[in-house]
Amino acid sequence: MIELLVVVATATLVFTLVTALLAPKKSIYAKSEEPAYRRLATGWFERWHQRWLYAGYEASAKMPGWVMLGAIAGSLVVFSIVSSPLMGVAIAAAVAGSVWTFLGSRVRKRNEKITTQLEDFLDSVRGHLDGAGTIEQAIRQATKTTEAPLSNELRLLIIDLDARVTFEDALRRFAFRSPSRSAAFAAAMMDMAYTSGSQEIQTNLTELAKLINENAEMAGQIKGETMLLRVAGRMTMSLPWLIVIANLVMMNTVPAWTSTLGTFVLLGLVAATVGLWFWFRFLQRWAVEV
Amino acid sequence: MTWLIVGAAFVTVFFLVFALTPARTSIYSRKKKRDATNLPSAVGAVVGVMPSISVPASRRTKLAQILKDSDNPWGVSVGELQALSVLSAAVTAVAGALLGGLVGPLYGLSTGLAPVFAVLGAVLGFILPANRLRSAVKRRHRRVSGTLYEALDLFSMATSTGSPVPVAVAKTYHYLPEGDLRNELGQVVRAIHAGESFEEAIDAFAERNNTKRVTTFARTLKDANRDGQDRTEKLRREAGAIRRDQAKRIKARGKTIQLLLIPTILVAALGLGLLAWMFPFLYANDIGGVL
Repeated sequence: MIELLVVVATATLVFTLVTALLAPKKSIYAKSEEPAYRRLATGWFERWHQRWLYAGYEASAKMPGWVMLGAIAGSLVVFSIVSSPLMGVAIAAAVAGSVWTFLGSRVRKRNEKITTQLEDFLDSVRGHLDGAGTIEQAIRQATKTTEAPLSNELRLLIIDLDARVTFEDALRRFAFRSPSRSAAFAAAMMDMAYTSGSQEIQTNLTELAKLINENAEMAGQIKGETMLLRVAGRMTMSLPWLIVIANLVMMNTVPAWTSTLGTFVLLGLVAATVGLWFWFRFLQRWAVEV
Repeated sequence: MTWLIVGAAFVTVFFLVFALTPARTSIYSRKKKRDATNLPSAVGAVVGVMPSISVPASRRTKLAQILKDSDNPWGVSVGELQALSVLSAAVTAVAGALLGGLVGPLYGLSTGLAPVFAVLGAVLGFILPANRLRSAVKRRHRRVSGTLYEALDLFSMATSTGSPVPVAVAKTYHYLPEGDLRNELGQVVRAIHAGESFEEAIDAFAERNNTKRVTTFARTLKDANRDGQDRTEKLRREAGAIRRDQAKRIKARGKTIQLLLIPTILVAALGLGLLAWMFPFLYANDIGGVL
């Protein structure tokens, strides 16, 4: 029986490494020479900052990354001392995973809401353009009738415009803050219309609303097809909590915690968590990149 | 059982070595000077001092093609890639021998199996670097094809505002979100600025990303540039067709994912169940001496 347990733990560890290393790498992306309307966050600080912004919170570029580093390091040190190193790892993983999952869930909800609101917003912009105003004036007017969360992002855009940031930069910053890819696309389109001064803007805004609708439909389809994956992912993220709860239930007196086999079992559990997380992420990307 | 453990441990070490040889910088920020590679410093230093290895002509052609297709993320020559393969083979052979010779006996395996593990490690290690490059190429193709409809949307909007085709391509690059397709279009724009003709730059783009969708996209761009007709509607239809195709594929993949998820969830549940079942035993016995 013990051998079986050892094999399961080893297989889990191997599974973890294999799946982790077969997952697509983000690092192949480099910053382009020109700033993009929607940037890919690379590195620890950028990823946390972007997730933080997409979830609707304001923060300086480094703050979320430092807060999470502090939380992880703090949990690791404190619980390693008062309990065991593995408990430290488990609690640090549980804290980071929970915050990441919570932010992710907020990002998804805001993304869906903003994408839905965009269609009405673009309609409204088009309506105001009929009154022979400029696109900037039309955006200002349409913002007044838009509700949160899109209105929050648009108000920041207007603050930028009032602060004499160029129209292009203000739109770019709006696109960077917004969790919706469609919003970034709309910003790019509005900038294109602004710089070309084209008469086709109204037609293109109608076309854009249609495209956003089509993209939203596709996103809905992806969401439906990958629903099980998200559920499985969340269950995986709860695994570190299982270790924590088990330790609390046993009043931190489990001999296995300090024995070689116990350590091995717990390491297997941590490895399984990480491995499953990578595996689900890999599947998620595989489903989308077709 | 013991075979399984040793095999699993071997695979672990193998993939750790795999992890230690990633491309350090992006394929889009290649160094201009050929005095250093983009390999991790230690690996690059070893490859740098390794003697030149002669490569048979057929393999040389294959490796050169892989390096070209992948945009050479490690910044190595064919000879250096061959040296990297040999280095990788050596490292994994040593790891295999150590596992077979030191860890194997702990589980009752004969030390005589160490050479077998070493050979197995060498073979896997040798094919690893080229395999990683091939995977990178496939991944880029997939990502470029997968986001092509966005480029078509932006491009058709740019042409509808009266921009000539090369300008519309530049605008599409400017407004596209960061990603492989944007990087690829950036290469097209830079090539045109450097004096290449539009057709040459687009052909090179299509050649680098040799997929059906990209080929069609490139042909449409060239046709539009040649006859100067407004193809906005056609481009929009193409983008719509890609979207529909994408939706169909996503649906098919969704089904595959469900199939893959069932065994994954079963294995995870089995593992957890086993752990829960073993817990009283672990709790009641100080079994630290077992291993």
